[in-house]
Amino acid sequence: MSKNNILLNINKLSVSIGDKPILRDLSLQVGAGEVHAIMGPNGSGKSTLAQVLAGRTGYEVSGEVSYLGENILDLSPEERAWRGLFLAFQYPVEIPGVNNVYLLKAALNAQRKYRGETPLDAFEFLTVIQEKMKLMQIDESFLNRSVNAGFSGGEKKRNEILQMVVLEPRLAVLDETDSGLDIDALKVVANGVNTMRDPERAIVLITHYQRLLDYIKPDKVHVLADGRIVRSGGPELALKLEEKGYDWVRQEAASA
Amino acid sequence: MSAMIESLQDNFSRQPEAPGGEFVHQVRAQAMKEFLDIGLPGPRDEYWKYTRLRIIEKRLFGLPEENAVAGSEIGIENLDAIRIVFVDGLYAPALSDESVFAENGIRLLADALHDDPGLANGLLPPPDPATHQFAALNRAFLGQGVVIDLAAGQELGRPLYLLFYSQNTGRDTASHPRILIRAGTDSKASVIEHYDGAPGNAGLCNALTEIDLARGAQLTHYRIQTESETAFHLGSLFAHQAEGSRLVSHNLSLGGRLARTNMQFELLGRGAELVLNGLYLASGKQHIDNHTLVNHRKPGASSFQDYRGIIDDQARAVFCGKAVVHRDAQQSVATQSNRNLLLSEGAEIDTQPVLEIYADDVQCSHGATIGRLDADALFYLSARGVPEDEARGLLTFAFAEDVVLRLENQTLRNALSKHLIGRLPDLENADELVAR
Repeated sequence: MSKNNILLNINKLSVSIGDKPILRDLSLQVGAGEVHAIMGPNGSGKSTLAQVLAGRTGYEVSGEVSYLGENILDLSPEERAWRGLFLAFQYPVEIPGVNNVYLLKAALNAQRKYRGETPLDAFEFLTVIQEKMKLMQIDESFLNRSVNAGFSGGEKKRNEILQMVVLEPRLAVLDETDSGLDIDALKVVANGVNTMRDPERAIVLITHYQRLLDYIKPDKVHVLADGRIVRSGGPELALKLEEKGYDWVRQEAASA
Repeated sequence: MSAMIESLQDNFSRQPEAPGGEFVHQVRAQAMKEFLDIGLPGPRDEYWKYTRLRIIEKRLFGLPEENAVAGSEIGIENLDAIRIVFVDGLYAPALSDESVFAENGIRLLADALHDDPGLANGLLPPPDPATHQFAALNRAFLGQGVVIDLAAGQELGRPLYLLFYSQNTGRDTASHPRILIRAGTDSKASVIEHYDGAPGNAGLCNALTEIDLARGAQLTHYRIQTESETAFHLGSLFAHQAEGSRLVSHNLSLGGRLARTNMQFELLGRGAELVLNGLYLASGKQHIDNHTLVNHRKPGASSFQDYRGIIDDQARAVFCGKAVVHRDAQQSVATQSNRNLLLSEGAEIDTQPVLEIYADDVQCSHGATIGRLDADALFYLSARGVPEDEARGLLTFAFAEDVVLRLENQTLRNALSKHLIGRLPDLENADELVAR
């Protein structure tokens, strides 16, 4: 991988809350066009990594995170979003009273404004979104419903992926998007993600289970345990994990 | 004696003759005497602990004159409803659906008093003047308002929209509208009281509503107060509910320099159900006070109260919600929630949720919160690229909109959502939030 193609370069990232370390000296490079899977047991720091990448405050952070060649650790979440970084939330927030169409349009136009493009009007926006909704098998009535309010777990996750395909990020981080999905919803979500695969774009899948990787084939798999990446490999690593469990990697890492 | 009281006394002596003749005249005189005996609430008055009337006491309020300014553009647009309009407290026939009075059991108060002077005493036992002197004041000026008499089984096909509009003529006036709603057995209706005014109006509106629901009657009642930020509003509502009746009360207290609303509900029969849905929004120098009292007097009735408030700038809001479950009221269900959002350092809320329970087999809960915006939701929006100010504006709107969405009438919902967008900070170009 040539250095020019690196979209995300995490270098010795350490994150803690108060005295409690969560990530320790974590380093990871994600190149354009690649799909990486980060797997790990509960409490290994996967979600913290996703939140810190998206700009959540309240953590003590050291090290470097460079995205498109720019250190983003000092940028606000919205500034990161404008640059094309997207986080699909593990627990999408319900916002009764704000409808989906409003949020989607505000999000898209905020990015366009940053890039110096004219904002889309209501009609242009509708044209854009209708096609994407078809892809995600989401009914049009959804647009006027409040953001995630009263949605089932599966609907919330599909909504996250709809937002992703509308916003067309350069780097998408999907935090346990597969959790709580039945097999049909999983296929729809995976299909949405697969349409996003592009030589210019990178996707980081954070997941507990191998199942998602049956539908979205990763280029690289990393195992996160106790705040560190303890092992990296190809798709076969995920299968091995499924078979042997996380203790196997931990023991190997400890004895190495 | 305060300037306000003097001006009210002067109005009293000069007010038009009472409809309904001598009997009504006597009721008025007795009520004025009660009001003067009690006077304005003082600093030791527990019921008015957080709301001082000093800024009203020095004001002079005159008698209203004929409507000169307001036209058909006032009020909520495109509302599919029977419309009856009062301007500065006086009935405005040119702005009202006059045809309605022939049927439906809807009458102007003046006509009803003429037919039945006994109505001057109201539908319900008069409230204690010691705490409800403004109800007495309302009675002292009895004459303008609406009487709704629903026969057994009657359903009012369209909502009744009562608009009380205060003009800005440069002369401050006092109005005392009275609404009497008597709903017969198994009748059904929706009544919207809207108190609105022109910017700069600094008058006093002292409204009183009485609701008497017979067995199985269903009423959806809206009380929407969007008067100018310089106006003074005092509102009282008393309701009695018989067995199996259902009252849904939407109370949106959004306007006024100083606004105080007292609402009292008596659950008098098994299976009576009461839903209280409230929103207050105080900004600038507004002071908005809502007092509610629910009395569970018979077994098996339910009350569900959810009031929310947003307080910004130097504004102040007061919420006092009390539910009393009396000894005979076994199997009562009473829930109460009051959530508040403070948007600035200078804003203030005094909230007092009170439950008094004298029965042992009941389900009751209550709680009040005073908070700021949810950090998870803020992060979610900013991670989607919504700038922080806008995200705050959106979440503040969403907090209030949750209450608005419970309104059954869509035209009202949209009108109120737009009102909120116009009032709340950081919601420029947010009209599409209500594109439903």
